Amino acid sequence: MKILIVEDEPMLAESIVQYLKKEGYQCEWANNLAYAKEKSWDYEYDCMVVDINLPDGSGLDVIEQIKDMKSKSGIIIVSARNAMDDKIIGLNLGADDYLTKPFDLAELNARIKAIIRRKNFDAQNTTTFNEIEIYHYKKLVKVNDKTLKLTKKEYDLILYFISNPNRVIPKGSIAEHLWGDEMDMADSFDFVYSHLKNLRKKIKQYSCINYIHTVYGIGYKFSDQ
Amino acid sequence: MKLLILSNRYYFIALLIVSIIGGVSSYFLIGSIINREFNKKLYAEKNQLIYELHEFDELLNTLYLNIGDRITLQKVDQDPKIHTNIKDTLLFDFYENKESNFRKITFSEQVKGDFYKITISKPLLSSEDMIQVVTKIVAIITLLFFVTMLLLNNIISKKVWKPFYNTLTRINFFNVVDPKPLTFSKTKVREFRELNSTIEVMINQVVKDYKNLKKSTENTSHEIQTPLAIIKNKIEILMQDDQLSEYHLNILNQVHDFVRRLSKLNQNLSLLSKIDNNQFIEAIPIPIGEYLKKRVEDVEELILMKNISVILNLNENPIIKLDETLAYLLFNNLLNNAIKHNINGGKLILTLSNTHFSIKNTGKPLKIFPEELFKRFKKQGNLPNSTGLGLSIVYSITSYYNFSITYNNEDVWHVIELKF
Repeated sequence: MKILIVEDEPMLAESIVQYLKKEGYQCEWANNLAYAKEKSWDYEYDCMVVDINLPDGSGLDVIEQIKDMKSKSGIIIVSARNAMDDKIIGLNLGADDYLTKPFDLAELNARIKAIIRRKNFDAQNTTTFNEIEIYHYKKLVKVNDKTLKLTKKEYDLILYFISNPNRVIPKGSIAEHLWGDEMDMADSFDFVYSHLKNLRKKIKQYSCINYIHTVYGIGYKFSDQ
Repeated sequence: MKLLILSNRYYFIALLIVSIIGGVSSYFLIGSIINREFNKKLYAEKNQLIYELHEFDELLNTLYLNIGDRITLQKVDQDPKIHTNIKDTLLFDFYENKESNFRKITFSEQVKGDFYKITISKPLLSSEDMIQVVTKIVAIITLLFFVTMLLLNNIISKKVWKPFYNTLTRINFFNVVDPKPLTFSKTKVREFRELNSTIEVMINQVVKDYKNLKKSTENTSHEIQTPLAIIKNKIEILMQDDQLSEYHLNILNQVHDFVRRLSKLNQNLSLLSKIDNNQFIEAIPIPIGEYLKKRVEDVEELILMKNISVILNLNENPIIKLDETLAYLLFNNLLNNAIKHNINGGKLILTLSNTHFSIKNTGKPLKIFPEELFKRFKKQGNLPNSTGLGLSIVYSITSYYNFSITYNNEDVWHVIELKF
């Protein structure tokens, strides 16, 4: 899987590349519009993460170029502006998703995976983690071939974890993933906890391994170790 | 008060004082002139009579022919030596058939060897008549003055102040958010020319400052988001390090949370300044009743968690034109606020009519003053995930749409009411 990061801020690009490389992606970085256009012209990427505000122009131009080329690559727009206009223009141009800075790397990772899944769409599309199998098309989770009865939030949660395996994920990031940034409730962490408790219980019905580990003081980690 | 009314008022007062002084003094002046002339006439008549008495023999018998004045001749034995004097007296007036004022001159004279005591009485113009006449004259003059002054004042004001009113209208229509070039009408008056050019300079400066401020607010808020993203992501990467102790992880997590809070704060502040700068202008008609139901569904989970019972009194379904983002923020913030400050097992009552929307929730007593509730950074206690801007945003939105918003607290009930 090849990913192009179009971001003018080297520190930010570095973090993204570092995080995504651990996921097994092949990451490339373009720090300006001209370079990004050149790269996306020369190579076919599975997904591109594009910052709108670039020193030599708008990242929207790259999106236009990619769409003109009829490229299949997925596009995530990243912007410091939480503006509806940018979002609508970007999505209308054919971008697949939109993230506002500052974002969680785990969130970016989950969104990239979702886009790549959609691009390589077929009904049998599944993600497997040991005995856990996720059927994306049917939004179904099976453990040892037995279907779990999950609520929508629990499904989102297990998908998020499986997208970021073996990573320490802070509670705040989970809360933001489930409820968006509108959620500024003091008790959101309690909600995260109660959803997790239920999810753990449901997985345990058909499996003897506890996948969701509590990392004290921070959050959780999805791992089989 | 209008300029015209003010100047009219001064004219009126000045004219009133002048007419009173003029009236009183002309009364006395005219009175004394008439008096002097009257006495002169009486003396003249006395001399004429003496002359006639000496010249004409028949006169003594035909005295009464002298119509108007009353003349009495009284033969006396010896010289009465009367010093000529003038006196006012009441006499019966045959023409008017009543007693009236007369002025009488009394003197003595020797005619053809006999001594006579002679009086000539002349009817006086009554003082009431004089007052009337004087008042009438003064009144007519004053009235003429008034009319002239008012007409003049109106015409002058309209003509002279016209450029001023023009300028005023243009300033009134000026809007800093959507500035159109100001074109003042040309004027010959130097003061107005100066006024116009001063206003033009000031407004240009205001527009420039406003644009700069807006731009720098926007830029600052956007520029802050990128470093925040870097901090956040670096922490996330650091968190994956197995070597870190629980203690270190804990600190990292706290920093991570505060970056989130800082970014949220930044977003909300930039939102507030956007609302205050009228940058949301796309209004679409929103059926409030259905919209509220959707918003309540959004927060259903929170409601369940806190075991809050919700009562929806959606009596009417008004359709109001609002910007979509602002409508969302308005109702979502109100709902979140009512849930956040609610107690476990509490209540939430939403009431909607065509003109009002009220949100009523149970909760702990308020620790801040109710009038400070809508101010920025006023928080109940220290809720870590609260930016203290939620209700300020609500307030900004309501004042943007000219809705009135009130807060009331009765016992455990907190009520926020909106009037569309």
